[in-house]
Amino acid sequence: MGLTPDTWIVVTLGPVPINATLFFTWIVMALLVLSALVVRLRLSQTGDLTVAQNFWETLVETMRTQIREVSGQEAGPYLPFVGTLFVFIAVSNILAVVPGFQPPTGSLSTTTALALCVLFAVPLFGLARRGVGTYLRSYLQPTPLMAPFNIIGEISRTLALAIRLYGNVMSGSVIAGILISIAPFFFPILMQLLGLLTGVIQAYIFAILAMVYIASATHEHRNADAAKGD
Amino acid sequence: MQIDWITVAAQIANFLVLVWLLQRLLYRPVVRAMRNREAAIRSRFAEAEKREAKAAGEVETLKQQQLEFQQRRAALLAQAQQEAQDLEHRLEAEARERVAAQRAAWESQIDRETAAFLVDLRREAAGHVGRVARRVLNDLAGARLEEAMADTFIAQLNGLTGKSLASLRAETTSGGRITVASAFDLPDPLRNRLRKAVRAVVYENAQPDFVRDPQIGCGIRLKVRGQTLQWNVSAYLDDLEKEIGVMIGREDRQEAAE
Repeated sequence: MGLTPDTWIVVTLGPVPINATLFFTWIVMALLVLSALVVRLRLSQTGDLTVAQNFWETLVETMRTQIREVSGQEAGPYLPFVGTLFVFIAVSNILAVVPGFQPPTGSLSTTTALALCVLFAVPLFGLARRGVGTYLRSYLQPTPLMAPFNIIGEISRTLALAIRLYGNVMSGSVIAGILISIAPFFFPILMQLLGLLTGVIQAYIFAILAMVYIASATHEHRNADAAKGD
Repeated sequence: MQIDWITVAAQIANFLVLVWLLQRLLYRPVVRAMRNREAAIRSRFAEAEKREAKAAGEVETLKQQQLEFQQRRAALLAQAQQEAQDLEHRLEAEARERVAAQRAAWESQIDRETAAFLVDLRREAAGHVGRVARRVLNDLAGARLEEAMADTFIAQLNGLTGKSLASLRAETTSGGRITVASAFDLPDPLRNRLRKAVRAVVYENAQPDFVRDPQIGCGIRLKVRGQTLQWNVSAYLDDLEKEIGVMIGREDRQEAAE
């Protein structure tokens, strides 16, 4: 086992090798979609809820509340993106306790992909909400001389987002591997339990930071409107 | 640490697909279900508030109706009491009238019976007194009762004075016939004595007629037109009748008081 699942080819579909990152990503996706289908097919509009619907409604409402508190806006437009980030990362990290499962979030490629999604989502949400001219002018604030630094700040925080998630998940796997070689009977269990906690926390941090970046882009729009009003 | 950019691209695609799928299959339906349920709950709350308001109104209406019912009940009760009092007074008055009528009838009957009894008693007593007087006079003096009565009558006649005597004489001198009545036939010697006494006291040429009248009882009566002089046991019987009448009246009053 390497440090990254990108190098572990699980199966080859014709000429295309499928590495563990993609393979386990699909497993996570399949589980999520299956769970969503179960809820969707037995969706109750009344108070008689199934366990799955109850769980997902609680989770969705919690995420909507967090998004509202962070952004100060309605959660509707951001829930699919931010919610999927949290759910995907959390499920991937939690499944790390399953023997043989390689969390896709332990791949720098996955975290980079997610960070790139955030990188592009921030200006897209900003543009959708503020308009092209207004959003681009925000890079010239407070002076046009700050434009390069603003651009560098966008890129660096995206990089930090990717590295942070990758580092935390990968470090968990590495530490587990090291501890197994030292004390194979006791510490791995504690580390697995700790991994569950840190996995959910990392998912929360990643999603919250993404929402903060998106909110910062949309908040400027609101502040600009307020300035116009003044 | 390396980045497989093909994997990155594939993961971006996977993530976007996952976002789309979850949006379609999870977020949108779940959020819609929650909104529908919230709307239903709000609707139920609104309905509950409406029903509560309606119930409060009905409670107020019921209270008002209850108050009106109590007032009407009190009015009916007062009316019933008044009617009962009126009926009681009317029945009492009717009962008093009936009792008074019965009492009057009873008293009238008592009076009639008393009068009849007194008449009978008077007759019986007169007979008894006459018989007793005759027996006593015969036993004690040996004289006949008629003579004793004649003597008493003559003494009464001789004792007449004043207005009575004047009226008697005036009637006789103006042509009035003198009638001497007794319950039994007077013998001639007694008639002569009586005639002499009448002539001596009333009028010297008087020719009295002697008649027999059983109604007189034990006694002698002298009558000239409207003027009458008599002595008989009836006077005593009258006294006896009065005494008995007073006694019966006293007993009636005692019974009424009881």
